[in-house]
Amino acid sequence: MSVVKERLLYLGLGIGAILTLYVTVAFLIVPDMKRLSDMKQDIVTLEEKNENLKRRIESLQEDLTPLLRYKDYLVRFNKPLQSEEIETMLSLFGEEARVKEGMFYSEDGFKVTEYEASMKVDSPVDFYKAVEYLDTQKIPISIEYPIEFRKKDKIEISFKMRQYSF
Amino acid sequence: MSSASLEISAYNVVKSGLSGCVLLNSTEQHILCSKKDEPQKEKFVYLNVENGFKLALYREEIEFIKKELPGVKYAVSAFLPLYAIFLEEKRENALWVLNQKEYLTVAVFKEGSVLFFRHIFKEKNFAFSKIVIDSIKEFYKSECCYFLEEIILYDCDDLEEESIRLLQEQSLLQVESRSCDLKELLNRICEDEKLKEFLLPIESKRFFLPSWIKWAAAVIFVLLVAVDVWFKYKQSQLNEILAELQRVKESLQSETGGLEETISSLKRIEPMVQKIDGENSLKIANIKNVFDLVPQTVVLKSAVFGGDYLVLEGFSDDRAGVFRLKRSLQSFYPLQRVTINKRKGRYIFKIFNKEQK
Repeated sequence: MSVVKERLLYLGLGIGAILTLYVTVAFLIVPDMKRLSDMKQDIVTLEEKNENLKRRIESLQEDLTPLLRYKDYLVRFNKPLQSEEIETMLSLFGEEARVKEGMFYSEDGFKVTEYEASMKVDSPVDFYKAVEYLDTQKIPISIEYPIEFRKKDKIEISFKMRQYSF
Repeated sequence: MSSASLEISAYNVVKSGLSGCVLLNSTEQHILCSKKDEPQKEKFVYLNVENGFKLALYREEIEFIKKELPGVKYAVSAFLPLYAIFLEEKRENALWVLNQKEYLTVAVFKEGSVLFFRHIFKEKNFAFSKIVIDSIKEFYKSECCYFLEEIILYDCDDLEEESIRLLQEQSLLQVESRSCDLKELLNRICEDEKLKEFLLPIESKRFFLPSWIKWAAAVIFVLLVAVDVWFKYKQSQLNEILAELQRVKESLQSETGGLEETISSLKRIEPMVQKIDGENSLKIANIKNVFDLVPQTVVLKSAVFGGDYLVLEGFSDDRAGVFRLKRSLQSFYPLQRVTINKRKGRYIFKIFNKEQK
């Protein structure tokens, strides 16, 4: 092989090697490095987002603390009592408790169900206790006028109630 | 050189170790006394060996082999198979014959050296015995005082027995014929260290990269692969971290969403609950107040609480009790109307109370 041919061969091989190296670095190593760098940046961004979310949760928990006393009410707002359940509750404080479902409408963004209720008690104190019981059980029911007390063998009470729900 | 020898298929080549050996076919190859000059250096490649002679190998054939058989590293003179056998047996006064498919090699050895050597191309319709007899005649022309007593024939081409018998008759010499495998013989020669000096090394014309370049390329390749593998490993690690962070993020987002929803719902019900609590307490307090105001002498039969009005019915033993009750209620319900009827010694009353608008 002549010297010129040999040199040309070396030149070709050199160029080939450099090209191969360039292609490998440009299309394999550099994209890998970029991907790695992007991933590191993604991690930093995600960590920041998670930190912000944690701070937001702490802040929300602070906001939640004073509202926790209403948490039990929330259950009843989501799952209102049936008239039979209200009747059972009133029966704890008197006799012949009756609860009849009445009108149904919306008020201030809440669904309102009206009930006609009646019961027999020995003393008005039983009625007070029944109303207090509704409050202690965190049931969103308001007692409405007119409230009638009639003395017979026992005291017959008839009144209206409104139950609020979502 | 015969044209037949320029065909690659005509060559016997064996692989020996990492390189190959080829048996030269040229009829131009010959033996020279080591003391003689080398007059045709352009035509022949001279191979000096220890035993007092040198091999003259046909240069054109060597170049042909270099070009056409680049894997071959050693060229073997056609003389060498017979000489190798002779070195093992040391039988002198004999004409050594190697019969190949297209060639016939004859040699005579004396005292470990060679006296006579010919490599002959077998023409079409050749007569084996005639070629051998001609060789014997040619030998006696140059060596008049060294007598041949036998012919030792190594037959690598399955000669007919008739040819051998004819040779024996015409030469008047004992013919000892042995069959042989030329490739096996060639292989033995190429692997025999003692015969290495009889082999002509052939420089390959193939281009080989210097080993340092190969090493450098290998190192760079390994480095690049290692770097790539490292990147992939790091990427998989970071992917795991990213996946974990993403899971944490989704969990935190879900928790935040849940809290926001709960707070929003609680804030929404807060005023309503306060209103219900307050109104229920107020109504109960109002009812309690009214009942507390009823004097001992007054018995209520009914009480209707209507928000802005109150109707009380009952009886009393005296009128004063009824009016005491009326007065007590006056501060809450300024508008009042009382009806009192005396029946059976009791004062039956009905008090209408109304708030002032």
